[in-house]
Amino acid sequence: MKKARLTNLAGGLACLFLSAFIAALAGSMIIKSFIRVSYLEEDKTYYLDPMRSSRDFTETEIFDDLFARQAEDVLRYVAAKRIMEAEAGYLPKRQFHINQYAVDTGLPDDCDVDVTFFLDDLVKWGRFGAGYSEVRMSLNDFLTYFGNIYFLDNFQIDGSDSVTFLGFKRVDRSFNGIDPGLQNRMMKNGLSFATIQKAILNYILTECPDYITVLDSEEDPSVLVNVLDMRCTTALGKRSLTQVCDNWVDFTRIQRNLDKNISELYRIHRIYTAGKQRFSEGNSNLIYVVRTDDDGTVRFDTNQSDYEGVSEEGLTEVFSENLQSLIYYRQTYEYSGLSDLDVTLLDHQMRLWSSVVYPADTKIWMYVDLDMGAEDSFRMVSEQYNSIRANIKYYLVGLLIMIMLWILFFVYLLFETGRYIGEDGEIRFYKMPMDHLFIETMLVLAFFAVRGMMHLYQVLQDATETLYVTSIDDPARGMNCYPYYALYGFGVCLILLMFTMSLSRRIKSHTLWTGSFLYILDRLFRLVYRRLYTTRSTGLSIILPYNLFLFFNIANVIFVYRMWGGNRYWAVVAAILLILVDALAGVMLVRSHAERKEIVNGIRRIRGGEVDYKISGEHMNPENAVLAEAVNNIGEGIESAVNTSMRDEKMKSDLITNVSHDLKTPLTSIINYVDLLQRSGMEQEPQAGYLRILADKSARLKLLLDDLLEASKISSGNIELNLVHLNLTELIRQCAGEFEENLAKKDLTLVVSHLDTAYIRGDGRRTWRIMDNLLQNVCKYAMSGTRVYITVHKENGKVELSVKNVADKPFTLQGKELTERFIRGDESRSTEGSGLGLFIARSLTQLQGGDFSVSVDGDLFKVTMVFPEEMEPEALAQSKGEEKDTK
Amino acid sequence: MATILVCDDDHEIVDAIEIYLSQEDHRILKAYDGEEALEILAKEDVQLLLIDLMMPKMDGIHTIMKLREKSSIPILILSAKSEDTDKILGLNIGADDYITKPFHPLELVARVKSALRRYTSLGSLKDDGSIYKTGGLIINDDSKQVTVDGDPIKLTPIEYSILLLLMKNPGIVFSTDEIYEKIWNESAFGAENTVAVHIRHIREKIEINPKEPKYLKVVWGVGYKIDQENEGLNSV
Repeated sequence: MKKARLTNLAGGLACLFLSAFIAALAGSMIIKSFIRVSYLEEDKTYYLDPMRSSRDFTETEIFDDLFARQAEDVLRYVAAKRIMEAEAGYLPKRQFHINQYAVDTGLPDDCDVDVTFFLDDLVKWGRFGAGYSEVRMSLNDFLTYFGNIYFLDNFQIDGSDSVTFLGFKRVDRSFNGIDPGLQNRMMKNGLSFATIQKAILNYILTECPDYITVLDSEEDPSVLVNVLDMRCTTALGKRSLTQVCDNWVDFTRIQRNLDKNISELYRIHRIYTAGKQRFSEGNSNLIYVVRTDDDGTVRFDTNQSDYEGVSEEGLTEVFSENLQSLIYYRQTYEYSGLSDLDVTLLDHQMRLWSSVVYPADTKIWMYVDLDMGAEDSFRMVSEQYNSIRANIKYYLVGLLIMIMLWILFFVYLLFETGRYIGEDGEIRFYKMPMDHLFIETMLVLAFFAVRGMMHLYQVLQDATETLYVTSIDDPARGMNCYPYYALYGFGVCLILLMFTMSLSRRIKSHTLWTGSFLYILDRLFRLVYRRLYTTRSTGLSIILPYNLFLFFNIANVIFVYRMWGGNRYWAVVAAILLILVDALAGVMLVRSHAERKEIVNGIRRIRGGEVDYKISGEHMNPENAVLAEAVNNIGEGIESAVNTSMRDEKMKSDLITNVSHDLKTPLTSIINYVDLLQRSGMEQEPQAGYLRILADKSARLKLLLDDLLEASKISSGNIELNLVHLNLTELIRQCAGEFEENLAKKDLTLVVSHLDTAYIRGDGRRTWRIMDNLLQNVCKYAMSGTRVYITVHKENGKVELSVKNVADKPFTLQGKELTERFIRGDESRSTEGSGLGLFIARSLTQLQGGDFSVSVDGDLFKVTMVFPEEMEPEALAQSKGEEKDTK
Repeated sequence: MATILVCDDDHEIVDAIEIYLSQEDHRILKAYDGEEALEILAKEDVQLLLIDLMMPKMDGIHTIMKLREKSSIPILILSAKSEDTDKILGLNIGADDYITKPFHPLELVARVKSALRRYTSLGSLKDDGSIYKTGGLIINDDSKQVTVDGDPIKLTPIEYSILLLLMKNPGIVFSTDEIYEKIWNESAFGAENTVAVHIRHIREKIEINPKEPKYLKVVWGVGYKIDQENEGLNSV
């Protein structure tokens, strides 16, 4: 057992380590097939499917995508370059007009003031982002921040309640209070100062919805202003935007434009710097030329200085020679090129930039240098792809071999686990602690383990995709991921082994079913079922299950009905359940009925004499099983009663036989000595008469003994029949001959009537005995001078033999009683005969398969015997007249 | 005339038998069990043995088997057992006749006489084509004489013809119709029980006990027959 366990452990470990290797190898395949490419504004991870690596790299979608995205990047870079660079290239101290750029990039041209910053400062500022501070001011301070505005010129006053602020037409920093013109007008129209203020505030809020919030409280109305934190001064050295503005409207607009500028410029600067490095001559395999013509201002960008100054036709000619090329004239939507690139992508990209950067007349020429001379993403992905393409078959073969090995070990374990060869050479089985858990528990655990493993795999794959594909140059790229894959394979295999091996051991030791929770439930259910059926109370055994069934049906029907409109799924489940339960009930009813039929059949057979018949009630439901058992018990009772009665009869017969033998010896002496006495010459009366009586009675005793023996032998069935083909007619003729003189003595005439020769199957001597008894009775009891009829009649395959005579005395008993033992008609026990004659005759007839009946009609006594008819044997017909003998 | 050994554990029966057989001038030896009988047989010259079956010390069956090892004298069994099987067993081990108790003394005497006659006159008969014989029954077709154990029997011509027909064909069963046709030489139609009555008469004349015939057997439902020599006693 120890040895078996060790082998199993070794096999298991082999399996586990193989799984770890398989997982690591597969993991490495996965790791290598992900590659991340960084573009100017985003990164993208590509999946180089190892199973689909048969095509050339330039034919893959990945190449197309790379080309498209690189082309977009080129357009981005060119745009950024044009924004960042003046004629003399990138100048950090270039003065940058905020409003102008904002208008270029699509903001409304609604700002009356302009401000300039150094480009450098703006880019730096953008790196940190725009920050704001809240400044709180009283309403009055807010309104007069840039100077007094309460001049009549600024307002339009129509009537008593309509005041409109027309704009900051007149602002005076040196004047305090309210202009008298306005004051007069207010007095005239009855306007309050607050109304005036409200009108101004409304104007400001309408014109500049951003940055200003009014905190409206009755006593102290105040205003919150979001003010951009200045990280640098303007090109003119101003520290605050308020210094270049003279009202809130201009302030919020310039602030908005500046905010937009600083974030945009930082982004563009980044694109510019990164693109400059990436797309400069010799660093990129993507060669481009961008030529724009903005109303005569022609700009020309390329990363291949050879193409500068080349005419458009020349460029088109050169570029279209390349396999992966693209030529696009924006104005005329002319497109030509051999790549599958979607040109609308480029158009879309260009539209993102202002028309200053990409005017309508923009022409683009691009191609990918398939020599991959430059160290760029094309080359990186292409190398990776080709490496996978070259090595995939080795990986697959390695994986296949390991998987085969694993299967080998696994199957071996599956057969060997839980089994060991005992010291006596017998195969035995053992179980492990976990084999004693419920199989359902194992299933649940296995289910969760599988779910966990699936989740883990997802995590692992995500991690591979995001964390370990940063750079192709990293020599340790993905290396620290392998142990996790190995561990994962190890874990999956461990769970699989534990579950399948436990299952195998359970099956081998035949405890799969008995060790399950369902088994216990099943046992419980059977117990309850049995209890229900065997309980004495009808209420429990019939009414309770019936009501449960009824309730379930009704509840289920209602449930299905209500659910049908709503949750169809549950309704269908309930309906199926309903049908199943009803079908089950039907099956149980049918089975119960069939079992009852079986029981009835058993009863019928037992009644028919098959007392040792047994109904097998094991498969029946408990109620019927009890019934079957009871019937079996009755059968056994009858069987034992029959056996007892047969034994008793046998004992009686033996007793009678022995007693008669014992009686015969003294009777012999009596007969002999009576005879001697008669011979001794005792002739005087009455002694001679006494002796005659003795002789008669001893002779009768002898007859009685013989009949008694015969009767007991017959009734105990202790008799052997020698059944032959019997000519009944011949037998009757013989009998008639035998009895002729006896009948003649009583003046009886025998009339034998038979139509034909009749054959029966019978024992000649016994049949003679029957006729002997009957005819002796006739001799004894028939009235002298009458006729005795013996009739043979054939009908329907039966032979009927009847003996009729007229009795000399009236009968006091009926036919059936006459044949019972020791009963004879009338009181004439004094005459010779034992009284057993009819009984013996009847018993012998029945033994030979015949029917025996006695009927008494007045003084007419009739015995009828019916035997099955036999065919006349042809062999019996002997040739007649072969020997003629006369005396 | 002859020395007869009577062996029975019932003294009264032995005495009664002695009386009857003494009247026939036989010398009677008495024994009361099988061992005693064998002792006497060893000493005396016994011509016939009458023996009971159920006896103390050694029963009749064993005694007969022992005796038959060296002697061929006639043995008659006297037994209360009346079953066919008992009779067949007794005859098979070498008994010549089987008499069931209670017996009529005259039947016993007749059977003893018959057995002795056959024993003593064995082989004395000259073989002739016209003489038919079975057991003690002899029919001489030349002289038209019938004897049973030497005693002449008187038969009517028809009875003689029937007996002769049966004796000529021992072992063959003749139905009443066949017998009628052969003897009367006409169709048996309406013969009814004529043949049966004649047979009965023949039996009454030649048999010691007509109800248990030794020679002329009734085969019930078939006909009548005379058994072949030597099997006469064996089939009861």
